[in-house]
Amino acid sequence: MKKILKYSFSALIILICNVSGFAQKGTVMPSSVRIGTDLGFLGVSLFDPEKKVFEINGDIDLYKFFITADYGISTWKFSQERFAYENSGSYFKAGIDYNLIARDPDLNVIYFGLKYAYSSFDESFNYSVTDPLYYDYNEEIRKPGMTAHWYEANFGMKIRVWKDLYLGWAGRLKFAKKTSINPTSFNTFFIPGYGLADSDSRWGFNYQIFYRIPFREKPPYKPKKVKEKVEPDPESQPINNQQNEFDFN
Amino acid sequence: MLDGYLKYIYKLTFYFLICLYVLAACETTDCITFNTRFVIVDFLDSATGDSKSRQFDLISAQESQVIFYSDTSLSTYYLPVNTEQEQTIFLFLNPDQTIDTLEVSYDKSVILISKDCGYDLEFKNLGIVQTTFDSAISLENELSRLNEENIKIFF
Repeated sequence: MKKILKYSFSALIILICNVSGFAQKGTVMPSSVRIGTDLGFLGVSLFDPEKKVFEINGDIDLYKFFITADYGISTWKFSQERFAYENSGSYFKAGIDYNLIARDPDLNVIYFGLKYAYSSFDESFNYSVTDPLYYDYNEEIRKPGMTAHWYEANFGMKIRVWKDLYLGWAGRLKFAKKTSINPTSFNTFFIPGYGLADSDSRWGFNYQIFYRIPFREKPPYKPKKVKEKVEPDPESQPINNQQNEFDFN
Repeated sequence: MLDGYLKYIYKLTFYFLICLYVLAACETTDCITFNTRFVIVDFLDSATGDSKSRQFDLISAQESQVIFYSDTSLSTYYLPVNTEQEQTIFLFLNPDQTIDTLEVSYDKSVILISKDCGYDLEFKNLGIVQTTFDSAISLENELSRLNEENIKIFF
């Protein structure tokens, strides 16, 4: 857990620093926070007795960008006659999304973005072997304190459906997965937040619901101001027309 | 709430993402693997290097309760490793009642394929620890059904 916080905090700092470069042009203070959850995971948790996943999603607007963060907890247990598998863990994702429709009056969002994700989990596998050539045996393999990290390229939408309620979906390409060194003979099967661990990249799909909590009135994003035509007056000083490019008032 | 171009994009991306989801779901797991527990041991003529049959009264392994081969003359033997351990000592009883041994080591991996397919055992990095045969070399160090030989023994 400490590692999750450490990684996510440093990732967030880097992202904020990147955004602040753009932010200096105008008044870009955040106006709201959007908190949500993944409906797909809620469905899985309700109807699949073996899997329990809960994810909380959040975003804060910053200029044309959103700082986003997700936190999730997951357990998956299943067994057959000769084996049993168990996985439980949590994950944290932080990143930045770019809003393609920043001028939308309903504050809808169509975005693409990048996230860093970190997962820590415990995994165990028990199996029994009936071996007519040697002898029968049982083996219990425990892998506590496993970690993994990867990146996610996101594309999606958050659409206002009623008052401050938004529905969203996102397609994710999870890539550049790295898993901590495996001290046992059992190959990592599942990584919470990532999925099956057998490939280094994976597609994901999320269907989410959000509630927007505004801090202040969000002024509509205005296009770049056109310089006013001023009649040249040879006696006056040149007009200093360096106003903010993005006037939110 | 949705109007104009937004409605269009909303629908378009929904279908696009559904397609992605279906594609991702189509990554079906293949239950069939080529992993095996059998080491393929070839006997060769040390003078010519050609395959040569060798007679054994019996072949077994330490900790095994089973005789793998009995009164057999072959040039290729399929010998099962002990799947619990990471090393196996094979015992060869010659017709003159002397015993030759071949000790092999390997790394074992347990791979869970899926709930329905179950798990599979994979053996890699096969090596010869010691042997009483005059000369033995290991070739393919992964135990696979696709292999033709893992160990060559010259006599």
